[in-house]
Amino acid sequence: MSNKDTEQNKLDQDKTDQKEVDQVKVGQEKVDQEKIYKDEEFITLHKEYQSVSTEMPAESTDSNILRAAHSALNSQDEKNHKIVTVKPRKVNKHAWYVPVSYVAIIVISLSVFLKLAFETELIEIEPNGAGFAEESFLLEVDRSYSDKQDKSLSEQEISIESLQRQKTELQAARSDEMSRLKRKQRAASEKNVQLQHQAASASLATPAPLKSEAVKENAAAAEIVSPKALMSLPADESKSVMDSAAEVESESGWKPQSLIEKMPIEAENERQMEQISELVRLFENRQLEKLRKALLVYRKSYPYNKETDLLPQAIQEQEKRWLAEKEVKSSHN
Amino acid sequence: MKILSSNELDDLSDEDLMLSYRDGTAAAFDVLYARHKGGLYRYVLRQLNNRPDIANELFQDIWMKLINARKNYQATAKFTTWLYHLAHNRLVDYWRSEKFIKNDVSYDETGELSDEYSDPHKELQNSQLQKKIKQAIAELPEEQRSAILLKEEASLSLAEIAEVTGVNRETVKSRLRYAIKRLRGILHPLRPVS
Repeated sequence: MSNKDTEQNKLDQDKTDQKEVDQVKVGQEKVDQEKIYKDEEFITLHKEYQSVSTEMPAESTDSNILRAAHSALNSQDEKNHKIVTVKPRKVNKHAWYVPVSYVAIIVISLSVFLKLAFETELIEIEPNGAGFAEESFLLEVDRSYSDKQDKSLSEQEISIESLQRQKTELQAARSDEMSRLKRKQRAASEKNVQLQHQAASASLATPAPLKSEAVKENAAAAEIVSPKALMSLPADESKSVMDSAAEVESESGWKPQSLIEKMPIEAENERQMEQISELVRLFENRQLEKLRKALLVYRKSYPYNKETDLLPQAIQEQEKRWLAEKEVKSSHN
Repeated sequence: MKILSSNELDDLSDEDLMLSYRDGTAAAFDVLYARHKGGLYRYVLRQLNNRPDIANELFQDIWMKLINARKNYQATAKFTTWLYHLAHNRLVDYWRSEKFIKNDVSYDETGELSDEYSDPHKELQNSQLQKKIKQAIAELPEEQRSAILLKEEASLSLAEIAEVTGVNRETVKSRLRYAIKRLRGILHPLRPVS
């Protein structure tokens, strides 16, 4: 209660203060006006001015203004009258713009729908495609250089440029490798055809000699292995199977199984090529972790050989770098 | 709507007349116009260095503005203040658009008013004093001229003049003082010695 009372008192006090201020202002105004307007000079001037200042506007101006004022009211009345009396116009169903607007709405909504649908599809596709390759590459570059913040901007730019150069070189190397592999594959298939011809001619010239037990065993082993199974085998195992089959063929002139003819180097090369292209793709997209895993799998099948290794130089260098890092880590441990 | 007679309208204040006109009484405007046309016209005329052709045009514009703005009229301020505020703004617009050079045309150059404005005091109007007063007002700086004319023609108080011209009351006071001093200096030699 006491708080309310004090607040009320304050408000009352404020009001009285304001009234006093207003009164003072009004008083001041009166004083000022009296000072100026009751000045003798001013009164004289005022009288003189009022005696001579008698101009009036032209009659035409008067009539124009009065007419405008009256017509403004009349037009307002008319408008009000129209609003009250005239019924709102019905929408003409046969107006040309109605179907056009419907068609426009349909077209726009359809196009928006299609755009959205395609955009989502593209978003699903692009992470593996070339669309995001550049972006992910740059992200990877940023990530790889994030721990080297003390480096200047120019150094970073230089390193980005070098990486880009490396990327273009890699693409060139990749195309070279692909063409080289294709050539190899073609040569191997030609060789295979030649061997088949030779074998056929040999079997026609001389009857098949008696087979030794070991040769039979090898043949049996070769017969068991189907082409699919052979493809799934590791490279050295499949190679040994292929060798044994070739040995049987060369000794006896008898082919263990017809399907094996299609199998050998061609399929193996294809598989290797696929793996290499996958590795190259990962490297290009800078998916380094996946590349490392894929490289480990690849190396299980195709161990490192300085002379015959088919991997591009850049990937080999990356592999060396990892190996070096691994060695350093292990030495630290 | 209650229809008021002309006598009743004459008794109404400016604000009530304007409200009445806003609500559709055309006669209210006639009364309002008759009350203020002279003062407003002379205010505009003096501000334009006594050029009746332009003064008539601007005078008409000001009233047209008032007519168009009638729907939004609220009697929050004095009608005269509002009317002269419109006039002041129109004059400022005119000076801006025409790049009007103040005080470049004297009353003598513009000539006398046409015969239709003459009244019974024609003899007095043609006197030397009358010419001199108008010339003296025309020669005042624009701010001082505004202040003195608003006082003379519209009978506005200091606060109202301040509101119309957009300055504070003290400024208006000093402008009026300077204007009176100046006019006194010009007119003093012409007055008959008492």
